[in-house]
Amino acid sequence: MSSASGKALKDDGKVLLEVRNLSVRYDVGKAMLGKPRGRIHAVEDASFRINAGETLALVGESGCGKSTIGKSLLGLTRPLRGEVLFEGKRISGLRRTSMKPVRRNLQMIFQDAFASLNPRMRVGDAIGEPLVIHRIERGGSRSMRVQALMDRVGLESAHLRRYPHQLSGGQRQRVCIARAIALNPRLVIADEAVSALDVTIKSKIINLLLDLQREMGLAYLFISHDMAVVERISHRVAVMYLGRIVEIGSRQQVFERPAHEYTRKLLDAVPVPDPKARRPLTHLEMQELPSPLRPPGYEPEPARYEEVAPGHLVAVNGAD
Amino acid sequence: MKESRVLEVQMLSVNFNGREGTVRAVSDAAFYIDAGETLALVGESGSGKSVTALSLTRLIEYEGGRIVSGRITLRSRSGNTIDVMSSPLQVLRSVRGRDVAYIFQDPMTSLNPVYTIGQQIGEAIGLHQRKPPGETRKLALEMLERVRIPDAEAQLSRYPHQLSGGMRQRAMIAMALCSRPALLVADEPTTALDVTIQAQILDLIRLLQKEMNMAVLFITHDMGVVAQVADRVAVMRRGRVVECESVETIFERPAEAYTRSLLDSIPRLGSMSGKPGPKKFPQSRAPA
Repeated sequence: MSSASGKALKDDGKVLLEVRNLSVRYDVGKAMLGKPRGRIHAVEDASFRINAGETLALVGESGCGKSTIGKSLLGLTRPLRGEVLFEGKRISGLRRTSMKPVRRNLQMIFQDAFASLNPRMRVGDAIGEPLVIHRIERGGSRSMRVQALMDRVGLESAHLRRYPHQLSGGQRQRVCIARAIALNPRLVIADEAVSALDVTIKSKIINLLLDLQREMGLAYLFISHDMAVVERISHRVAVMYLGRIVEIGSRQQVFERPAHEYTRKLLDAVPVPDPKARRPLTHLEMQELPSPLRPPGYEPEPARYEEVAPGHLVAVNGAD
Repeated sequence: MKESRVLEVQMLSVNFNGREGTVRAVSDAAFYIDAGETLALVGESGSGKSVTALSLTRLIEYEGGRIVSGRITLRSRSGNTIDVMSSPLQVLRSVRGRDVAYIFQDPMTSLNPVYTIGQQIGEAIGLHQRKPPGETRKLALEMLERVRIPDAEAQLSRYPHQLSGGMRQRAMIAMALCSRPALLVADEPTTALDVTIQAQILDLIRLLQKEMNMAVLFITHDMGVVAQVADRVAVMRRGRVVECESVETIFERPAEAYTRSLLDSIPRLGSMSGKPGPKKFPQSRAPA
């Protein structure tokens, strides 16, 4: 059995983002000046990389730490340990001002487009805002760029002067996408970006994301709980369970030859849209996800992986 | 109404009066459900699924809806048929929760945060069945065991916030089923749950349905869930039931372009096997 840790993730020349041994913990039940009662181990020793133009999906159930990873990359939450390298430069722990130029290349889309948009800002201004902040173009050329972005994401000129509440859910997500791509970023973090949309809208937004990837060479970190969507959209997949990445590999490796017990369980639970493939009643006993809450001094062992195929790593410990 | 039939809805139309005029949320909807059978009501947001569900016991009237036409007939466990539209409030009250029970997407909004699970199940039992307190507790415990909540005895004295999402939904199901309803209306009951928990709740509903020979109206937007639970499927779009067929027919030979477009846009696990890169969805021609 070959054991591999974070350093075994090989660099093949076009690595855009690299995360090394990232851990994020939150104190719980802290009295003023007192000691915490426990700690949520939200992310434990997570390592992965994303190549330019590639989609890595981060999948798992509620509380597995997938969104926390997204937030740590953006600097929205402070990791306890580990580092994040973007285009070879360390970006974890950067201050706001030093983070700003990085943000041009590292953008985000969230699940709730309505909450992401300023309700008092018209669509045109919302899409132009990143250009203003980063002082890109001005006057007429800026509005032309806004118009081009709207075209690109499938919004009409008529939407330019509308407010977010006057748009449908799908249109609002298109506005968020236009904002995210306004600065020609290299990586977009999409956190449950299509989860709240109706199926027909969802498939259109996914198609849009795939088109943009092809045209702009975008890489995505696609955070999702929806295995079927992930199968459509990703090149590589990382499965998370209780803060750990328990399996990572190419989409085909993870979906067609899942090696971790939890990955198999997750895939097995997805309802198959075929009445002939109806499952017998097998999930009757109640099984809950264990809590990531640990006593204050708890130190889990570092993640260890077995490489079951080239690039296909499976955790051999830590799923406790 | 046929002997086996638990619910029959004919030409149901529901209006809402808004500031900008009248909106017809449901238009001439018609369907039926037999005992032991699951009818899935599918459609996208705003298609009228939930309004239809709440209209079955005229609860929609408390939400500002007006049933402008239609006939709704129910059959209770005792075999009596009930004409919902012409029933007085007193009758409707005993129908709601006893003959027709509801479970919703978010159990937290349906459960009262300041009462224990045991008290709430007890209340549901007390409303429709006269029982001495000891009996009520025994039945509440039995219901929690039936929905396979571990350590049921201890859970009776816990509050909703002390339970996980999956457990709360189980407690809701226990409450809904304690009066052995003839019809269970489940409105997106697993939408907010994680997939592994969803699989458990779906199996639980299927099992209890079989045990109680209950009719189920299962509302969902997820065609994967439909394929797993439904005997027949009614597809709703803009307030109309555009197609109502057996689940096999809906998935294999849908007659309506809209049903096809719904099916085309579902991501199917396994549909990508053998393909190395991502792939776009085929975009159907049907208008959204």
